[in-house]
Amino acid sequence: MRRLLAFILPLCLILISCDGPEAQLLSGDRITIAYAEAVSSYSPINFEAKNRKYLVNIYEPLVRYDKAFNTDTALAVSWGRTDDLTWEFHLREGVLFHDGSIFEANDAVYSLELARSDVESQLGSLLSNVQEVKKIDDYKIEIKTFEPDPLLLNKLTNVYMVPAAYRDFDAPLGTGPYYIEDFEEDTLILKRFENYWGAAAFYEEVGLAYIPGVDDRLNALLEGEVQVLANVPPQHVDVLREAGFEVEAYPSLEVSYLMFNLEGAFKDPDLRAAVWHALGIDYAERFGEGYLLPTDQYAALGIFGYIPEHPVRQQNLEKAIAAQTLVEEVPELTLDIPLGLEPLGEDIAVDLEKINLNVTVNALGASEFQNKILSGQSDFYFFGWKYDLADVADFYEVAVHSKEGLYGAFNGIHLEDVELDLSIEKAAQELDISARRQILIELNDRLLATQSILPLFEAQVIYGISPDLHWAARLDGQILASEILQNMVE
Amino acid sequence: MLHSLKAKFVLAFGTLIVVLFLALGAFLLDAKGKELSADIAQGAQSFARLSAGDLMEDYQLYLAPGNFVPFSREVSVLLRQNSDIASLSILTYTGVVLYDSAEEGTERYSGTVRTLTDAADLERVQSQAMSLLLSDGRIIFVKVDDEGIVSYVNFNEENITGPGAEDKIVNIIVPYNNAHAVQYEVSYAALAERLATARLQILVIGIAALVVTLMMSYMLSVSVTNPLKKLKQAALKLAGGDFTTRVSIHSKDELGLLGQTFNNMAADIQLSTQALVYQERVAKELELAAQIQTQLLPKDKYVLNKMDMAGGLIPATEVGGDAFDFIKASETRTLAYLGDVTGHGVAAGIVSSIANALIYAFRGDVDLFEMIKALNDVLRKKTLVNVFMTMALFLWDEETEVISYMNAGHPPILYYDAEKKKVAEIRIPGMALSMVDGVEKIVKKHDIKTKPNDVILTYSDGIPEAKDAKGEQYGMNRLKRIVQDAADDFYSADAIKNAVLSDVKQFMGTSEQLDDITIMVLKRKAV
Repeated sequence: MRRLLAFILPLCLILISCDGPEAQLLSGDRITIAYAEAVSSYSPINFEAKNRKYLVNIYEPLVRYDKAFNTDTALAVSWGRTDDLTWEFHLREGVLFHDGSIFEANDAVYSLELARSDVESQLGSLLSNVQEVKKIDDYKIEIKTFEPDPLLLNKLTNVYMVPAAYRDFDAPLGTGPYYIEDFEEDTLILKRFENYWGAAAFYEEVGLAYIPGVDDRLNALLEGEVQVLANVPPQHVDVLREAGFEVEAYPSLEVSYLMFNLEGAFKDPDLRAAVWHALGIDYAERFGEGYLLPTDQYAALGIFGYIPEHPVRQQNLEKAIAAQTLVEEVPELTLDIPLGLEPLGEDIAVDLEKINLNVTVNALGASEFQNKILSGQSDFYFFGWKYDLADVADFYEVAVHSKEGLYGAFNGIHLEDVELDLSIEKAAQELDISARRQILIELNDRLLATQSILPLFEAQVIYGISPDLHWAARLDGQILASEILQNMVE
Repeated sequence: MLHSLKAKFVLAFGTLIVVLFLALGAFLLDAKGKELSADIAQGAQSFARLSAGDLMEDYQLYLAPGNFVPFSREVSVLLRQNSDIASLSILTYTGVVLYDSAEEGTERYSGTVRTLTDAADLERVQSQAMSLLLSDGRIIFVKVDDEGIVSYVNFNEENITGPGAEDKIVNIIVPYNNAHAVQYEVSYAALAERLATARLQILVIGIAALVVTLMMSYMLSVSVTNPLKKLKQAALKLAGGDFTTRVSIHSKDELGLLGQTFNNMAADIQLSTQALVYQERVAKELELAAQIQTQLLPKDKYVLNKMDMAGGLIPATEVGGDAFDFIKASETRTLAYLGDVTGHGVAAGIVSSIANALIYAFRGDVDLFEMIKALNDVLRKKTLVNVFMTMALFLWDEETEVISYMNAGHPPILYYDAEKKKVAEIRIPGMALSMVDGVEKIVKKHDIKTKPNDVILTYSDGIPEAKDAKGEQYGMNRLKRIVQDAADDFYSADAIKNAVLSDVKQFMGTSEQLDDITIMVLKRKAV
């Protein structure tokens, strides 16, 4: 499910802000964080992003990300590999669930088993490499994997800890800094957990409110009821600044690509080369108002596999025309694109007209769009990916690798390259950091050379922040109520 | 030796400097030791944190595949970059020692598997945070949050007290990539060496500073005592009577000022001494002049057959400006006068002496007008223009029993009429001698036909103008009253004079006599 949503939503978030949380400071003792989507499940094994934004304040994993997307201790205070397939985790002592029960190894084992094997779990595929979870002692567990898994820690950041035998998912029971107290008028009321193992949250009460309208959220912010707003549409930035709000852009870990179907017209490498060179690099500027960054690599800023000094692609019409002339039969092309991004599609079409390529922009709804691209019938399509595992291998495994088992689930372009596949599989099991980084760099260059997936730009998420609050955005995009403080400086 | 001010200065300064230096040196060494210890701790932690990744990459590149030599070379290079790291070792998550630079010098260890046995050590290896083992046995985990804030925690990430300035780190363990850890053994050998170096540096600097300070102290003391020595020698010479003695001190400090003051004092003493000598000489000359003037005055009493005369003069200074005399002009006539030269002192005395000599010289010519004229002419020509002389001049004729009286600007005389028993002032016109030419034309002569017991009294203005302590003048009324009383009681001329002078002196008390006091009494004897 995670993968199902990941490619559809990213650019929508940036351009039309159809999703986005914001914080509403109601009083000195309470804040409200409002979301564009309603929570649909309190289950710790539900993996939908919209629900995770609510649950992240209630549940905690063994390992979590810090603000800079580095793995950090959470309910485990240390861990390590005893061999390539065996991981050991020392659990934090003195942790209580919201019902007062003590968090121990049994709970961790139960939570992991629940996540990886329960029929209702949406984390099954994520944890498919986990072979066994067992308790060593009250505060130590062991996880065995089928294959060496360099991303195990990243995956565990998504596995919430619940008490052993816990099944009543409508009554969330975690160890987080807040617990659910009530639900009223689309607002989930959280109360500060006074026995929290870490630093106590500043605000005693937090409301997680569902406010669907973009204008409603913006107005609430402008009227002073909301202090932090994520996913601010770029066109509203000036309005917020004039209203006295701080506006900060932060990497969203979302990169957008054009995918060329290698079994359609783009099977011809000359056609791919012609399009590759014909496309401009200024879409980011034109559509993102400065909040989309042009890129020529697959990884997002700040994740493992990002190449700091990678050159940016340049538009070269001469090369494009030269390549186009080699195309024996110039086809009529259709660009599939999600609804809402038609201007982007039209702009791409205009660029391609310069080399005499006629492109029809075909805007589709989410479900229809997904079906079309996964069917392998699209000539070429827009594709966005959010790197919420903080590693570029995630994209390669899902969208680049040939369709094979869990690999290639979103490979809708019939890309089948044995060398690429081998490298992706090798990276998926390589535990040595340097070696793995090198594999990922080579993968990036090799994939670029195929000219089958064109990186367009990377989005930034824009936050509007009231000077009343002291809060810094996280690279993982989550808003943790426990990290929001009142700004004491005028 | 310590009686010398110089020695005291040197000793005091030197002692103070030594004490201060020792205290400062101890303080600096202690501070330096803490600073160096903190430097080593900080440097070792930073080094460990930054080098662990590179070291593990070298391990994976060289040692893991079996290439010991290049790995050993890289370790040597790494260790040379921080002399405070004595050795390092690489461990697995399970505590197996993969490499130990202290044991593996030139070839790879080939013995039995080395494994950590201490549970605390194993915890450190398995932690996600860098940890420190301190010399007192404490283990501290160093957790750095995403904002770079460092906190010191235990294995369970509960806050504990961090290392202090006194704490020394035994070793540092840095976890790496969830499977390994690098342990760095920290050496403080360099600290002792650096402290010894610092101690030597401080000692050398201190000795140099001490020597310089002692020299400066000596120079300073010399700069103080030398002028004092000069002053002492000059003071001794001054005491010996050499008032020309001066000291030469050119400094601009207090000693220079003292030297200048001494010179000023010596100059003042010299001037004062010269003035004293001069004053003594003048006093002697004045004494001589007073003796001469005294000799010029007649005896107190001058008694004739029908007339009893007496006079007295109490000068305000050694030499007075007043004069009186009784001069026999012929067998039957006698001249008497009382003169008062303006001012008093030597100048007035000289003028009065001239007048006295002139009257004596003119005694043969009994024409009072002629005498006045002659006196006026001589005084105007031979004395200063601003010196004048008043005079009451009498000529007594025993045959006619008439006293002729001529006044040259003198206060009115008192006449006691024995029949009426009353004192009256007799005022006749006149002008002081030496003021203008032709005084003889201005003055008048007044003849008094005397009767027995009549008294004529003349005086200088020193009597009515004499002041008591309150500044009140004696005045004419007092004078008249005492004359009246004395004449009523038939006092002799001398007794009347004494009565008046006694009354005036009594009136003045201790107040200063500002002018010459002179009196002359002429009393007609009773039949």
